[in-house]
Amino acid sequence: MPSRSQAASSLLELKGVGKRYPGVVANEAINLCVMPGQTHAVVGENGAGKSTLMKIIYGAVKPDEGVMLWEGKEVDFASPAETRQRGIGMVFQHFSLFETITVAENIELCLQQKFPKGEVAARIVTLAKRYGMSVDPKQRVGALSVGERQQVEIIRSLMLNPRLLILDEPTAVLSPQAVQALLATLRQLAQEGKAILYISHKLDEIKALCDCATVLRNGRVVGHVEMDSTSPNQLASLMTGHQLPSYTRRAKSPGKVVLSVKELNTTPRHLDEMPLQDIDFEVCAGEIVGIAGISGNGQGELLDVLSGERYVHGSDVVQLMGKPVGGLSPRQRRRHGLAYVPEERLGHGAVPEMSLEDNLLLTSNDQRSTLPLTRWGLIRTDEVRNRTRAIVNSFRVKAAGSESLASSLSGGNLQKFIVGRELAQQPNVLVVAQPTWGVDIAAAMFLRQQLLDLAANGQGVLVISEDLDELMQICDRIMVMAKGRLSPSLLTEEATAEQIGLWMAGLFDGHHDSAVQPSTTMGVAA
Amino acid sequence: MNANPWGLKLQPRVQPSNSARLLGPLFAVALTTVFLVAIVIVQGKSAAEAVYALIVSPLSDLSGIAEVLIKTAPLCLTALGLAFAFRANVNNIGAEGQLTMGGIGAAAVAIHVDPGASAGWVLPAMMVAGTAAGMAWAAIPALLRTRLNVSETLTSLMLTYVAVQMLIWITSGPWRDPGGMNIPETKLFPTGALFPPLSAFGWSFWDGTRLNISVLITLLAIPLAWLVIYRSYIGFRMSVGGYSARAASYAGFSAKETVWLSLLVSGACAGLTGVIEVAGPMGQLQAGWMPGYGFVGIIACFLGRLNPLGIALSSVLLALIDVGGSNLQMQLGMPSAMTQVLQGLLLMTLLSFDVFTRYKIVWNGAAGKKHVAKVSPNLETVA
Repeated sequence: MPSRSQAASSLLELKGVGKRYPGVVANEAINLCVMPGQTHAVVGENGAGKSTLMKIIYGAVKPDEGVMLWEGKEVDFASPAETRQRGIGMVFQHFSLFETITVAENIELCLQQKFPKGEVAARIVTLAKRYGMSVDPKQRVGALSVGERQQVEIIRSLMLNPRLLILDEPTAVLSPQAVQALLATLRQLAQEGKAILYISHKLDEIKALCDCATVLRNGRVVGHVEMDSTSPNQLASLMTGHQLPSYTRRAKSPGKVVLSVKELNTTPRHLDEMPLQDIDFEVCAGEIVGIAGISGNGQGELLDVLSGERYVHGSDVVQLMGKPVGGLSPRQRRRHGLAYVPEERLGHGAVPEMSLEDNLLLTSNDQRSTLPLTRWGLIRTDEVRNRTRAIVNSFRVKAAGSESLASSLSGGNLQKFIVGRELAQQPNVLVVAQPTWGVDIAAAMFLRQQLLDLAANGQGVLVISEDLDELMQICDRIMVMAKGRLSPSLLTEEATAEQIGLWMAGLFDGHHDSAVQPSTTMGVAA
Repeated sequence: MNANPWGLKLQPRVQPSNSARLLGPLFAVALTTVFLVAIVIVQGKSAAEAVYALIVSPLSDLSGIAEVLIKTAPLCLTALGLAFAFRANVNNIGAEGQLTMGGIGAAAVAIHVDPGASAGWVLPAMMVAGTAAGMAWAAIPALLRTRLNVSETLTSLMLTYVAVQMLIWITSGPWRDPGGMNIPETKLFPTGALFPPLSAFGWSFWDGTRLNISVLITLLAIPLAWLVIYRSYIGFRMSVGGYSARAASYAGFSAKETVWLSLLVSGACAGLTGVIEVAGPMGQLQAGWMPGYGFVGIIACFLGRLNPLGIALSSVLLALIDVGGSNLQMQLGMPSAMTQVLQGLLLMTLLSFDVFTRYKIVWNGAAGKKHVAKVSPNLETVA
């Protein structure tokens, strides 16, 4: 990168930026140059240091070392307020909006100067219209879908007319249609001469949107590429440092039904819960069934019912291997051959403050076949240690030892441990939620291969994931969950992103009954 | 913008610091000593004399040591039970009430036996009755919590005052000693209803002290509590519930079981402590009886980091302060409240030091700027 000498005309340039956290080097010797009007991608795996770098540019994090140039002139690393004045806007990965007040009020809160009444709302409408967004300034943010909330964030950063817009993983929570709408908006912004820093690990989006990409790995810049001359595969191997392996699918034929859910209906216990309506599906031995959809559409409620953390009336509603288990506790269901990997790793699938050994014991004392882990009510520590070590070794979990605290492991390694722990129980059915969320590519591929192998061995697997690409790669059938209801299933070969996107909006049977839904339920962005 | 005049900042630690966890109690003891010295000096007394009266003089003779142990044993037993509950995140604040009920339960047996027929079954029967009474009292918050989701912190604390009223009523009414000149207390328990002194077992070393065999109960309870907390499956299940209710429900461990067990076990320990008191140094039930072990036990628990061995050590320390506090009063004329002041200071300094187990202090003022400047000197010219 030193060879590029457009520094004089660059909009933003970073030289030798570094940031260390206790025990981690988040960024080291980062050089980055953004030209005016350029759509510049910053790509890398989870934990590569992308978000830290963007927070440094935005002023939310102060670097330990390095220099920042704005329009060729060296500037201080300022606070976010000063950065916004300078002309840098940012849309964060996790939205920072107040749900109980309106769109206009949210946006007004962030503006430095006072506007006459109504002018903010008018500018919101103008901006929304200009960039093809549909935001009503008088609407309460709590009533908006995820995609609409993101539009509010974008409009909020556009209010100050920034010259550089930073977007951190903007499509992570969007439906395919909402992604297309967002990309169209961003393209229009770029045409108007705004520079965009686009952080993502979704290679097809980057290919479709960006001019060039800076690749980060382990906190360092490992390459800078022009998108015209780079294939997604080349980008991926730059990101991971090795060629992407492909999945091996073994031939198989689905067997008898191992998990079935019949006419499941729930009533919400509090306001945040989505009522489940007429959920009906089956998982057969040897197949992987995926449930796509945006989080918060009832997936959590369904998982609680499947695992036994939430009781429902009628034990026939959930059946394992043909036996009704609806009234059984999680431990009893485990004895019937159910294993479950929850979405939340720390605090649900594992206890952060406890060692890996203790976390093994969390679910492994209910196995049917192997030696028990307790005797006369006392824990057999040697057996627990041996089994923990076996999982750490066979699943290549990077940990200091079997006594490491769960919280000391990275997301990917903890997930490998949890999946290993559940697979070690030789389940008949495995239910997994967001198997590779926040996990680096190599670990994600390893985990997906484990699921494929499990199905090939004749077990049934149910995967609930927001990552549609993931489901398309590993599932035999895909269903979609929207507003507490479940679509019919599609064979993966016949599923298209367009159809699944429509289904995510709840349009999978003739009558889409938005009028019946309480107004607080979450819709999907157009 | 910089509202931080000293350039100090608390930075979250990646992992809670183990050394800070262990140093905490030592720090608390040290800082409490500093406070003690300051208070003594303000009062115009000699600091050296105060420290001597508080810590050295109780340990300078056998009967002093015995007095410390007499207070350590019940305190430690109550605290061990509470550790069980606190580990499971069940806040039993009412051990004092459960202890009072334990004493009443033991007295119910003791005052109704014929003084002549002091058979071997009396003391065990008192222990069973007292333990059961403590458990029953703790069962009320458990029932309210599991059935109606009422906070056990509130109910257990409030029931303490109900228990105290019960004690006053029972000692001034139905069980009052007819020959006791109208003083609200029961008649003295018969010898068969008292824990025999250690010296009676041929252990002549303890001759002339009040130390009795009930200390053996605590000595037995320490390793037992360790085993249950660190090695048993039930202890593990309860700890999981304490760390994360969500993880416990995922594993299938019953939250109700945890609430019931922690309250019953801590209630049983407190009840047994009540028996040890009334069948030991007291020898009867008195209306004004409120030994305070149930509350000081909470301090002992946290000072000992909820670890049975740590609790044993902190109980000795707190008992020492209790005995030494009386010496302060007698020898230096300091108010008797000094004992509670010191015990309270211990807990407060410990809790404030606990910030450092999760955070560390960083200097981000001048020092931090210098660091940036060193790497890129030209930054200063712009700024």
